[in-house]
Amino acid sequence: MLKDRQDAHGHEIYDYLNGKGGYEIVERDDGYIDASGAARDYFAEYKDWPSHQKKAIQYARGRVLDIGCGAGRCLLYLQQKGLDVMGIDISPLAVKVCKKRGIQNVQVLSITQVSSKLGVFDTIIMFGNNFGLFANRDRARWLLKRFHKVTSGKARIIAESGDPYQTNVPEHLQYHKRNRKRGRMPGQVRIRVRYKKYVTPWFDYLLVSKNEMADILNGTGWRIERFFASTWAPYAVVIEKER
Amino acid sequence: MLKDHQDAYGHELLDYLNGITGSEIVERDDGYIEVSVDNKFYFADYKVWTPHERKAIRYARGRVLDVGCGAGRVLLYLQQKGLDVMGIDISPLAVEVCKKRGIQNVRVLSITQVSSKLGFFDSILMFGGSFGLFGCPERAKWQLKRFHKITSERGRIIALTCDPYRAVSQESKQYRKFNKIRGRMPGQFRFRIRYKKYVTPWIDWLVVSKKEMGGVLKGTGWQIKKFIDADKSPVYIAIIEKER
Repeated sequence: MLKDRQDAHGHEIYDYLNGKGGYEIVERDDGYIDASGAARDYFAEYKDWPSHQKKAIQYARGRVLDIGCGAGRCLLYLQQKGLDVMGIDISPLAVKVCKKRGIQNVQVLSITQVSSKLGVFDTIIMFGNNFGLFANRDRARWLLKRFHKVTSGKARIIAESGDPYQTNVPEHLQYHKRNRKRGRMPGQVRIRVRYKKYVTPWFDYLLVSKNEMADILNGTGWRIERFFASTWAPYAVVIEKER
Repeated sequence: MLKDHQDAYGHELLDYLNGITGSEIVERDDGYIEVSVDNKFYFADYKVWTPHERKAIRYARGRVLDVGCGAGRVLLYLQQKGLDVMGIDISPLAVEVCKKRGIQNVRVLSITQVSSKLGFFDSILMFGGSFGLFGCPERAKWQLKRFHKITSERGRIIALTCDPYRAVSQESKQYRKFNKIRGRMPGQFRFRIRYKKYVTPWIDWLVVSKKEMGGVLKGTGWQIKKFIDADKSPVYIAIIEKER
């Protein structure tokens, strides 16, 4: 759980809900800094989602867990469709925003706190690049095995990532090289999110190509069912249990 | 003169000229961070300037010095009008951008390097908030006295700033208080500009109310001729002339 001064993302969406503008800023550990998405993206209604997300979300069924639910755009959509949904987020203010927006079942929890105490799920959602929350290859495999235990036989993970290699920005290409040198995956970015005076701790966020994703899943009991491409680096994936 | 890794602002301008996107980010010394103006602002044509800027630029006359000229939007306009203009900027890449855009007389110089070697001027422009380049009241006074010596009798300074007391957010109030405690003017911001991997050194940037500006000018030989207010914003432009 983030402390208030660390809850950059939460303050950003809480401000947005209260009609105050502001941009989320992402700072990488090589000193690279840039504005990230606008706060309104976290509130986008289904009709404004990119098409790869629209298609992938149709695979949600049964009891659903949304990991890193943010302002709750997926939860709202699925709740309205009548699914039994639960959201978790590490940001207390994000959870508060979700509640204010009418989401019934949402808790302040980190991805590593997902356990059988929450019950058994049929679908796990990791949208908005949240495959990145796995942080690195080893932790991804450890968490995927845990997810295997807290899900039903017909379970699915619907995730989104961004192919780190679909770029020609010199700073990003340099960063891949630097990561390889220090034994990290090229798309394993170490970042922190800043908003006004709020700063998250440094965290690893994992961006993978489709091949790298398949490699991570290998041996975890999960396999790729299908991909949904976009016109650019982001893509969605439906992951199912091996039979 | 900024070193290349410090030239955040110049890299931003050059990238924009080459069609590469990115955001200018301003980091204040209390940890507050935000995305600054849209890059295209620095390249805005006269017709899309704000009304107060368009009104104020009419006061430019004779030989003109633009201090902190950036991508040269003001220089370009005045040059096209046939005025004799010169621009200076601390950013080597900003100066390169100006040259690429057809500005003839522009060099890499800091505000503190303005001297009689550049000749005499009739107008000094400090647009886009560049009154802030004075840094602090003491330096403003020193600088204004120097400007007095290198300008003609009918010399003018056209300077844009904004009233810091009209920012009412919690963070703004806290920051003014923080400044008072450490003996600075409430609107004396310390920040650095970041763009991608480029970071400027920490900069003092002086933002003053109209009354405070009067105090800063006192004893420098300059006086306020008139203020031009922005519509629905704390921004204003001062037309400053020599005392008679």
